Amino acid sequence: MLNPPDKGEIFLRGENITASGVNLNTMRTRIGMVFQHFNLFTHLKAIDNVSIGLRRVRKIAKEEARIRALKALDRVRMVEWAEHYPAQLSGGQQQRVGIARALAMEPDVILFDEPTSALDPELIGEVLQVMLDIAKSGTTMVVVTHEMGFAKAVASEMIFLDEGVVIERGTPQHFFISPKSERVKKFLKQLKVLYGTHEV
Amino acid sequence: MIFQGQNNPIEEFFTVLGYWDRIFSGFLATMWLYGWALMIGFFLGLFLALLRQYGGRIFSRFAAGYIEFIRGTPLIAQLFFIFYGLNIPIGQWYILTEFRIIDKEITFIFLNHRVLFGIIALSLNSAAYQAEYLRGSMMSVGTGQILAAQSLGMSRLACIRHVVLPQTLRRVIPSWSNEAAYLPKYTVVVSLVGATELFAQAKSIVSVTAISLTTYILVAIIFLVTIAIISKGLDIVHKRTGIPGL
Repeated sequence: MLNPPDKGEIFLRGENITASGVNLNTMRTRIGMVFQHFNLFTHLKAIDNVSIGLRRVRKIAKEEARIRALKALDRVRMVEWAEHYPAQLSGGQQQRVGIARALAMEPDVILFDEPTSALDPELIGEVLQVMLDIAKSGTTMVVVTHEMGFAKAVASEMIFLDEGVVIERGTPQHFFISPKSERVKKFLKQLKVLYGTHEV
Repeated sequence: MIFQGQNNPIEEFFTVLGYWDRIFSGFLATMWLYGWALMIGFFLGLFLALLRQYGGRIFSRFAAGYIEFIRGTPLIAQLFFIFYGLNIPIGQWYILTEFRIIDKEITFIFLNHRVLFGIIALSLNSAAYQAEYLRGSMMSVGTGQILAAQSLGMSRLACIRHVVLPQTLRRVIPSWSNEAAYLPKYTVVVSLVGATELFAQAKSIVSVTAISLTTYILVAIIFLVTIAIISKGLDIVHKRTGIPGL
């Protein structure tokens, strides 16, 4: 476990992945992850970053892996940058490669840990656009984000957490217009103070 | 006829140069010791660094203990311990080759018990220092990348092989060149157990010609030029394997 749980169980497509005897590495190939600080492999070009999971974990042949990697890069619109190293890419570009890396493994679900929090405002848009395209194509995504506008536009379901406890969950409409808990109402009031309205 | 007390440096220099076969033989022996010690030290050091960084509690403590011990004791003491102290009854034998260059006969000893123990002591010593250089480089590969490798489903081993080591080996070159530059000088201690490397040959020339200053200066220059070439070579390797941002 990247972050071992204190207690409880996690089910992926009906399978309990927290049960003992489960091969974690196999499970991890079915869950993609995109990190706040990108975490690209700095010694590999973008194309190799995307294909390394396919080649070394899935044991797919080099040529086939390269084709799939290019497809993933195409979905995030980074094909022209395939031969560049992470240090030669901007933050937004690096994050898009990170997303391609997760996509290439064709996981059941992709987890996004504050994917745009480390980006400067002008670069956030391109990443959100890619995430929107992925969501539209039907991929299941669990996103931790502070981009309220994005959440409102894209989310099927929103969950509000405070101190590790789920306070409220519901559709964006429910969440923004008629929340039940006081904690969420306080949160929305704070957004209003910051942005003038929570309709960002 | 030898003019005692005649201090003509040019003459002295040419007299010493007359023993070029001894100098060359000594130089070969030094490079032989150096090469083996550096290489064995590298692989052993890599093993120790991996053990220290990724081994369980027991192994990593063992590796750390070994490194501390080697770094805390003098190389000469380690060499003497292995050579005299352990008293391994290996007997006196040798594997050598002889060849002629111009008119002089040069003997190159591949292996005898002095060279063997010398290489062992130097390797064990160098491994400890190289392990620390490598470990420093390993730690500079951020934990974020390791998390990313895990999230792709890579096992620990795969992560070390494909993410940590490629970056470690490139990053370690500047500090590693430190060891590569130091080691030729350390091989001199093997002369103390009787191996005929460059320094021992220098002493033998001095005992014959009584020209000490010129001889030792010549030896110093040989070391200087050799190490300068090695450093420059490593510099070129570092530039050639450079990756933007690494």
